[in-house]
Amino acid sequence: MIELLKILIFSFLFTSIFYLPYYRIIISKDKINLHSLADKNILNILILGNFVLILSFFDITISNIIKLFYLFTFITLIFFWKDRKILKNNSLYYLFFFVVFVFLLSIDLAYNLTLYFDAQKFWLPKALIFFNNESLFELKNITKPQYPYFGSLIWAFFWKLSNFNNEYMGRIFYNILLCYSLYNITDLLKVSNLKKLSFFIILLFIIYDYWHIRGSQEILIFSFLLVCSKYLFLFIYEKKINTTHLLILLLSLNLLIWTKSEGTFLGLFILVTLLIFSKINLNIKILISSVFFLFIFNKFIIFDIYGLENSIADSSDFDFSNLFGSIIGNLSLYNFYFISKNIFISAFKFPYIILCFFFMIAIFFKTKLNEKNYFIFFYLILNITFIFFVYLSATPRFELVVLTSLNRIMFEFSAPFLLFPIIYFKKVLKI
Amino acid sequence: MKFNKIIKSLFRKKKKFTKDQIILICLFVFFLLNIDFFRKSYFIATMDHNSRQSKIAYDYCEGTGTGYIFYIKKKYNLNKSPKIINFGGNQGSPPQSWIFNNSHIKDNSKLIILFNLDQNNQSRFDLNNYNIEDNHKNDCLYLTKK
Repeated sequence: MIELLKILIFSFLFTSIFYLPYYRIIISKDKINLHSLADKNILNILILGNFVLILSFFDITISNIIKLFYLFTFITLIFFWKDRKILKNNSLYYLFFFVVFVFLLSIDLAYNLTLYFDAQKFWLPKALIFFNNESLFELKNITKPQYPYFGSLIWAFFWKLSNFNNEYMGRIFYNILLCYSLYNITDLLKVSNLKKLSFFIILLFIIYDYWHIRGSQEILIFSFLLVCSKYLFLFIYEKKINTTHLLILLLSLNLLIWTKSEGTFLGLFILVTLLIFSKINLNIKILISSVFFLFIFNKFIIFDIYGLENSIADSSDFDFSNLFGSIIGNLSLYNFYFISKNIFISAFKFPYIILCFFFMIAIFFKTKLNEKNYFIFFYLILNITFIFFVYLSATPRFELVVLTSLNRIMFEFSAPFLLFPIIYFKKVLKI
Repeated sequence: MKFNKIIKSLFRKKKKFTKDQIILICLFVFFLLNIDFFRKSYFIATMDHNSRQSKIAYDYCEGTGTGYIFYIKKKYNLNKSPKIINFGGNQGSPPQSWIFNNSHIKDNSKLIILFNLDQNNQSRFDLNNYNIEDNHKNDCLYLTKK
């Protein structure tokens, strides 16, 4: 019974953190009302994520990061105490709503507990390094030091913050991020708040499965990509360009880079889509691209400083030194068929992907080829090309690599596909 | 007269909910039932964390032996990771020291042996120098040095 109570308390506390006015560092007072609550929640998550990540670069232990987090929260509350009046009464209803859902998902988490093989082997041992206040240098003694560590870091952060010995406390953050990012995408629909909440529950119902919260990092990539998708949609489809939204996009891209190796490529795809299809000023495009490449450069420097292997992919499975050689070696009709078949099977494992493709076909027939929709088709083609490119460069264990990882890759890549139903609802149903 | 009042109040109450609210409540209840909230809450309330790990999350001494380690951890109140020798069950398992929330510290005086029996039911590990503290069908064992 005590454990149930603890889960409830920490679901409440962790969810409430993202209602504090951290976003005021970026959004000025006169522009607060221009942004929705969903924007502010997501911005808070990204600010806190980047705050913890940046402090880790200086080899600050997680206990000290938590002390600095308390200080940061205290200063934010003092400076922006007056802003509490801006929080309307219905914000508290939303908080209650999300606490309930995070609590429900946390009950599922605390019951199942099973960690995925990769989580036991790579991600939890990394989280334990942080949780036990060890140095960043220790990461080189863990299997796959070349893997980015943000997921493990934030896992350890919330685990330590709970002051509770059970690792799943840290994974509650994964549930919170999923809930907020799903609600954030429903914010694109111009419907009543109640309908948005209903749409959120439907999305959660079709997407959520304990499988995603087993400690593997795909759920983080999926959520950050979902955040990027919303703002891509605003910039390209609705042509609403806003500095705060650009900052949200950049903060998400940074966390993508630090979550998984393929996050760098996914970030690049988002950036390329933005550069090609948005009507943003050329100088801003150059600025965004420079910042993104600076993020990548920063990751290489940090990995170099701490003696971590600087590699963009798993060196035992992929041979990037002889990229074209391995691709040509694997180029056969059977391999194409094998990858295509597994893409198809993976899509069926996640029914929402199939549902999104139905909406894609419906959009195509209802609106024909609309210039505004090109960007999402472009992203889809980029992803599929990337999947073929990566798996054809997998040298020694081609079939095993495809069988064990393609469904997870499909899941994490699929977040922007949720824009298909959004476009359908907006274009065809006019909502 | 009373009956009429009850009927009227019921209808009044009904009007308090809009169609959107009813849909939201239905979806919420549907989600609640879908994740099996009540049964899972019951298990969390009645079983502690280590017991759930050994009985629900992982196999006991069949596939990976992870459940057996959680059982030993709870029974002997172990904080430091003992040496774990896993001869391999029917599922592969990565190193299991994460169960003790640390990646390095090891108590070498204690030993957990997983899947000790080979195909001919012969012991793979020489038990002579150890006290057997816990024995599950001679296959999963918890030992301390003599």
